[in-house]
Amino acid sequence: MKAKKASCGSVHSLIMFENKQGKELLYSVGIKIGSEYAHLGVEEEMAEDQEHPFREVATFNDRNVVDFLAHDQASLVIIGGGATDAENLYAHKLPEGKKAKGLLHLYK
Amino acid sequence: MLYETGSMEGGGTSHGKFTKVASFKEKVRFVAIAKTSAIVVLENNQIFYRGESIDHHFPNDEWKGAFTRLKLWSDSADEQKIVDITSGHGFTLAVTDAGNLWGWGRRFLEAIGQESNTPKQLKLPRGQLCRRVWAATGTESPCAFIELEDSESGTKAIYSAGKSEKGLLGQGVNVKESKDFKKIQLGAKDVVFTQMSLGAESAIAIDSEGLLWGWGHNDQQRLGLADVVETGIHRPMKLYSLNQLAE
Repeated sequence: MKAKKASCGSVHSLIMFENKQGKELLYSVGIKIGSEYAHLGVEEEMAEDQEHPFREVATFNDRNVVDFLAHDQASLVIIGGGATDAENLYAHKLPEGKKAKGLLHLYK
Repeated sequence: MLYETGSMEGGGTSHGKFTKVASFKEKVRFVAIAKTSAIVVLENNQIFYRGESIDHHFPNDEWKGAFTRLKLWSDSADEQKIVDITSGHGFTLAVTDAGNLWGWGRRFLEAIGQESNTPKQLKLPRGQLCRRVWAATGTESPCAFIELEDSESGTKAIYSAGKSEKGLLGQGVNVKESKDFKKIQLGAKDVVFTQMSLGAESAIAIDSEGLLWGWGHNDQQRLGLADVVETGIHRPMKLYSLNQLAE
């Protein structure tokens, strides 16, 4: 892979790689700070692995990432392709293993 | 069109959704955002600012809640097109098409020995034209990088100036202050950085082979290195762990 673009934030970095097939892969670099890891865009377990302080942000694996920015404990990504490209953007696994869409879930 | 969201100390928006900034009739060419300030350059070369003024970042050291015009040139005949702009914590640097570098914000200007409470054209190494600029965004490091082009040979190189305790200047072991813009210490010949980013206390650059280089603070392993050097990394080094992904 070749690095194509990097962005440094206050406590983390984002790097876009391109593999030999021309596919782009977005990586976040850095580890969990206290209880904060959302800026890294991955699950907690990956964010606290100090032996491997970088990993692919799989959310954007099949998306057209136009640009990105690592900021002050936040990450911003611009996705090209219109509204349909953002479908399932917030799809994620719930604690009991089910898959869900959307940002907000309440638990007892 | 420009949209904004979030909150800004010293005045500004404080809401949770993007709203259109209606102040501008012209297209926006550049936006430079820092922790407490926002700078906008329009297609007609007009500059606007808003936010908190830290140490004379803005005229009369006053914060502005609404975008306000900033004039670099009193005479329009002297005006040059802005081709790059960046903001750090309490300062802004702008590059013109004539290869000049302008700066405002005492915090950085003092760090490079060119004190001023108003915008000024900054001194560069002799025979060099400024082409690009990057500012560190952290509150601890008034530090900036510029790409200079030799006016005779056309050779380009990256220079840095300012202050950083954690090696962000990239000028070698224990260089924590540089009033003059000096070349960063690469330790390897013929390396050309094609892309670069500065964070609060760290920097990453990509060379023409697609390999990553980094320097500055590796706390929170933000450079991808498993071992954290408390004193910082004072010269650009290849980020071997990330570059292994390229193999």
